[in-house]
Amino acid sequence: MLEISIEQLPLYSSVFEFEINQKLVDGFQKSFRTSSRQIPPTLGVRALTCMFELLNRLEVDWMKLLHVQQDFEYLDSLHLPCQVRSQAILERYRKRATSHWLNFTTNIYEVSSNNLLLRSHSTILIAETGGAE
Amino acid sequence: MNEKFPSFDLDPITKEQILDYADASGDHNKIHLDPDFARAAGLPNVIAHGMLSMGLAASALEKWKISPNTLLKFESKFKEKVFPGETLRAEFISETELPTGHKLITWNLLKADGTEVLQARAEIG
Repeated sequence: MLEISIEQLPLYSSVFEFEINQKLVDGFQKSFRTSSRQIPPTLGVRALTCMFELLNRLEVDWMKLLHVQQDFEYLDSLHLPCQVRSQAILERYRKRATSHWLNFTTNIYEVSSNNLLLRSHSTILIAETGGAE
Repeated sequence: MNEKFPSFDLDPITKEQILDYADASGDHNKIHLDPDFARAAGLPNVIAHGMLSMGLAASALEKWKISPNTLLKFESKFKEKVFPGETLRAEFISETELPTGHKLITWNLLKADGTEVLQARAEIG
C-alpha cells in the first residue's frame, strides 16, 4: 500500500449519502437468518463504503490484512426511513517494519437534522509483504 | 451454562447467506463470492464477511433480551476467517459494571472446534 506522511493526516473520504429504510434492515436481517425487523447494530457497515474508498485510494491489498477491530458508538436514535450521510477520516497512520496500522473514524449524520447518529472506529493492520496466512 | 446469557448455536454459514450479506452491505468483494478468486488467493474457499460474523454475534443481544435502545457501543475484534459450512456458537464470557454505571457484556463467537472467530463487547446503558 501507499505510505502516508503525517502532514497528509487527517485524510478525508468523499461524503456518502444513502437512505436507511425497512427494506435495507430486512436485507440485513435476512442475511443473519432471523425474522427480526429491528435495526441491526451493525447496519452502520453500509456507511463504511467511504472508508473503503480511502483504503482503495491507498491501494491496500486485502490479502495482506492481518487484523481488524471494529466498533460502533450509538449516539442518537434512528427512525425509519432516514436519509444519512457519512464520511470516513483516516486519523492515525503508523508504519512499522513489517506492517501498516490505520485508524479510521466514520461519522454518520442524519441529513435533515444534522444530528450525529453513529460513530464507527476501525483499526486495520496490513502486512508490508506476504499475508495473514 | 449462564442462565441469564445462555450459549447458543447459529445455523451453518452458507454461500447463499454470504451473497445475501453482500447485497445488504454492498460489499461484493470477490474474496467473499468467487471460489476461483478465493482459491487463486490461497484460500480453500470463499470467506464470510467479517462484518457478517459481527452481525451474527450481535444477534446474541436480541436473544439475551437486551433492548437495542440501551446499546451504547458494540465492538468486535476479529480473530479468524469463517468459511461456508462452518457452524458458529455464541458463548458468554463476562458481565461487569463500569464506573459510569453502565454494563459491559463480553462474549465470543466460536467455531465447532473451539476456534475463536471474534470477541464481542457491548456497553449497555
